[in-house]
Amino acid sequence: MDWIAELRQAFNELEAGGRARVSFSARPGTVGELGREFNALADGLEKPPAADARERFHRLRNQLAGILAALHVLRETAELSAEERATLGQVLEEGKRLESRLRPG
Amino acid sequence: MAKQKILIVDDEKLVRISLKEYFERQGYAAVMAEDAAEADHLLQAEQPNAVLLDVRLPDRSGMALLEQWKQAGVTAVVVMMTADPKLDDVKAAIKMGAYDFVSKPLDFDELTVTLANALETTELRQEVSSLREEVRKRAGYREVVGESQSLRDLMEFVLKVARSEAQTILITGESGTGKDLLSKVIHYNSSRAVKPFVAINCSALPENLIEAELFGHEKGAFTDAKAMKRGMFEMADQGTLLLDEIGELSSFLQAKLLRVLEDHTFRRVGGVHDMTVDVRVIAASNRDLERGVAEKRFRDDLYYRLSVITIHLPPLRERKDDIVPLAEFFVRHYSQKFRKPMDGIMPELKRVLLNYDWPGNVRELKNAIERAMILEEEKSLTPAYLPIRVTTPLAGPLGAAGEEAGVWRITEDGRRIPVWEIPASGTRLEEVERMLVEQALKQAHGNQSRAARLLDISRDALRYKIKKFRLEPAK
Repeated sequence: MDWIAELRQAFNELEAGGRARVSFSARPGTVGELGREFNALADGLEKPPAADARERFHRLRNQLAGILAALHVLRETAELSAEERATLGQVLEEGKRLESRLRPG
Repeated sequence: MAKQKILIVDDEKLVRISLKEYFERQGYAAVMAEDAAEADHLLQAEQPNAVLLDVRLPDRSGMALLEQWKQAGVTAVVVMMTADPKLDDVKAAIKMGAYDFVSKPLDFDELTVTLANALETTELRQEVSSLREEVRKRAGYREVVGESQSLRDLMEFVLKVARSEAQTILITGESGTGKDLLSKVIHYNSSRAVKPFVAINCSALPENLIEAELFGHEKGAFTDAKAMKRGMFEMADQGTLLLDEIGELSSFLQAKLLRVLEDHTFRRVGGVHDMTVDVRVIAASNRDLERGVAEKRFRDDLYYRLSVITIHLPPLRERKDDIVPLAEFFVRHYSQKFRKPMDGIMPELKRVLLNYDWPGNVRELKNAIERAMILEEEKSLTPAYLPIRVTTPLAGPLGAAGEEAGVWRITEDGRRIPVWEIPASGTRLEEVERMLVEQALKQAHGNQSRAARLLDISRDALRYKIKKFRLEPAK
């Protein structure tokens, strides 16, 4: 489950204000969808501030909410080792921290 | 039991598929929509029990969709979701009828509890609503049976009164005419129908208990007041309170009642604060309240307050046209209740029913039909098992007239008890009993079963008395 470690690393970079993309966006199923949504979120964060910041941040928070919901369900339902489950928990926490960056002003 | 179904409406695919998988694992069925149009279609097609609805959708706002559904009377419970919670939106959604509001990122534990509570609340609401509908049907206009012009005119007036803003209504009529049923008809045909209907018989309890029942009491108000208790005025708030046999109310309670009717305020027994209620009071009486006023037993100011709208239920003997339809209605009723199919009633029975004056009114007729239905062996109801007083009416003044003349007293179930005056020199109870047994045997032409029924005793008890008094059975 290398995608978990990759996602954790990517979240860390985003939170630090850096650029990040994940490589598992072409995979089928929820994991692939998760990758595509993460890359879309990263794209959105890199775009210059739009005139309607509130609208932009709302869209980004909505994307992040989708990613976090998918991570929550995957942690509960996917066949994972204890270590992977713990790492996924950390990814969730990092995702929630990123949420504070997605507010206008 | 069918699974509870949830409709998930969100333009974010990951939110939709995650919630679907999560709730399916919890034992729910789930369907998904990505915009308002699809959601509206699925709501009709899938009839979900609950909807998780995002505030922002690509084609239309979730709030507008919620408003449309509520106006259309959609019963599914709706929980709103948003990544941008604003207090005004929350307030507006709740006002529009949303059960709750959850913010994104979603807290799955919170969402699970919210949804379970929402579904439980909806189920309880639906249960209460269907029970109310059942009560409404049972107490509805259809239950007032009759074809006479006087009853039709009366019901037209009753429905007009029910829909009016009248705060007090007085129903008068002899015992058994249906004052209780009529008060329910008024309640369930009024704008108060979804609120409580509470009834109390003012003659059933002593004054101090009636006061506590009507107005409630504070903890420690009297020795047995271990806890605070709400009274019937509080329980009937925004609904209807029936005060049956109002003529039996003590003068102290008459004064207290007048105050509630005038000011809509009262105090619990032992209380220090006034409480305000909005209650329609229906007072019912089989007594002549005007005479009570003249004899100073009933407050005139209360009488005038209560009698602004008076409905008088005529006795059954004054609306003979209703006797047969009522009897047929009770036959159908007991036929269903006793699971005893009955084709109807024989012409001979109709004649008997019309020949009797029914001093106990509809209640007596109902009891007579019930008794006959239990015992009848034919396919149609015959007079064979009607109470003997109905099939062979006694000579002399009938019904209430007889009661007024002091010939007999009428009991709750419509039986007539002879009224005698004991001579000043006294009499012998045993002789009176012997005379009654002799008379019963004579009237029954020696038929011991019928004689026993005339005296409301068992055949064995009658045989014992025949032996005791050494009476020869009449041939």
